Amino acid sequence: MPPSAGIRRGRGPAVVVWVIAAIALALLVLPLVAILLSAPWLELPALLVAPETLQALGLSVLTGAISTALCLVLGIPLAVVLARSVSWSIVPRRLLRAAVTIPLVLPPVVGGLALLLLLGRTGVLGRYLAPLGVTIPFTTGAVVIAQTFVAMPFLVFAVEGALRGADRRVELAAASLGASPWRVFRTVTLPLVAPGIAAGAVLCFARALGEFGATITFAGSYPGVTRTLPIASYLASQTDLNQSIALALVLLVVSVAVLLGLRDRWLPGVHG
Amino acid sequence: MSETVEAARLSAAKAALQARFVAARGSFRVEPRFEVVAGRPLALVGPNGAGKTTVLHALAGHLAVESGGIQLGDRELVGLPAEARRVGVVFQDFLLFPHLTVADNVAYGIRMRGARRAAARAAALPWLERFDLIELTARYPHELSGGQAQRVALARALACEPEALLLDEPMAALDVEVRDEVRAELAAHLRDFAGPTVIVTHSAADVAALAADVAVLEHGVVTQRGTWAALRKDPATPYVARLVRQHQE
Repeated sequence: MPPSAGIRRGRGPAVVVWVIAAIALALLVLPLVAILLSAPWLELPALLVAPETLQALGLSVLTGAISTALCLVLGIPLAVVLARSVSWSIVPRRLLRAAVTIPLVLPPVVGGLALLLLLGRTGVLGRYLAPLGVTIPFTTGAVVIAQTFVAMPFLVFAVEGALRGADRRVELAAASLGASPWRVFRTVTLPLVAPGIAAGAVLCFARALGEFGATITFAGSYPGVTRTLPIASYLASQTDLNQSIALALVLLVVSVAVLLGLRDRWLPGVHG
Repeated sequence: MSETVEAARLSAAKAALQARFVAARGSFRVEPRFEVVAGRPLALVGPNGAGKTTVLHALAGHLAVESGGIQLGDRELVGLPAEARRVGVVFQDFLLFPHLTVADNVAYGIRMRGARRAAARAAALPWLERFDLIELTARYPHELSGGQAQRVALARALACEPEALLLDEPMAALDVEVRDEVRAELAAHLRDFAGPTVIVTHSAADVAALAADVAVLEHGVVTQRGTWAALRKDPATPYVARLVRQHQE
């Protein structure tokens, strides 16, 4: 018998841990089961093709796609800088990381209010935009900005994780073969972190699609303009619960699809 | 031998490499002084931590020098970014592009010089032939043996027609059983490259097989220079004496 055979490895955690873990899991999963059990399956087809549903769905998909594109364009360079910041001194490095993390820890309503105070008609920047005829709050553009604000960290951290995991020395090899820094970035760095970018974009889209607090504060709830799926679902829950559940189901299906499309290691926290 | 390969030999034939600079990585400084004659590969040897790789990175342009110069032919390299130096590098673990096939790895440098994809692939062909890579063109780096990866790395570096070639511990990533065979192949390829060549190594076998001249780097400075035969006859430092014994055993 090998000496390690008697050691308690392999026996697993104590029963108490299993029980508590089961309660935690139930808390995560049972609410979703409740949605499925309460869903008005017979009326569902009619509810799903109702004009309000399609309008909200269309607006959500459109704004979510634009926000994801914005997050990609703005977030990938930010991820590159964040990955490089490991060589900075500690204070700026931590400030940068904290700034990127803000939307993750800030209540979305506070984020929406902050956007309003910055870009509203009398806001810090908005007061200079208003004379130019540019008003952002309560427009579809505001929805996109709110979604981009809350979704950006998901993209940045996914890409940053991929950049840290990749062997960046191949960039030196590319430079020695005559590639300018921009071409190194395009032909070597981007392909190397492509899986991270894809995962980040998927997470980003899911977060943008579910965005509620910042959107309703900064963009309001105008049908066809700023009333996205989550807002429509919330408003419906005040009057017509079945309609609300139908909208919630759409969001749930999209979220589960996103989850299935992701590999474990790209989920936040897993790649540490 | 193809015309491209021949042209590369001629263009590199007259250049020599002179290094005389100060570079620092953190608090560690190197102050190498040596010259490499075209057609006589120089082995830069030294104990671990002597600064060999730091010197190589400075020559390649991956590390800025603090003062001094690096002369390649009639060009001063200090101040030029890596992509403008025309110095080919074969890295210790080869650093092939994992997302590109063997053919596209070798064609990469040609593309970066402005060739379109198809033209670059055509221009890479003679190099693939010369390094016996034709059957491997569609493979990806993770599908190659160590010796094959080394040939791809060498072909990739030479396909850009560099004026000088740097190799960092070229045998270190290979299995011990294949080293002698691969080293002999590498020696033949290095003889075909007519420009100045620097081989960073700590192996006496590499020095004996690959290099014509030796520069010994210890604590960041060159402590002995000469041919391998001269070093064996009269080792100037305890390290050189140990290195020489290593090969005799």
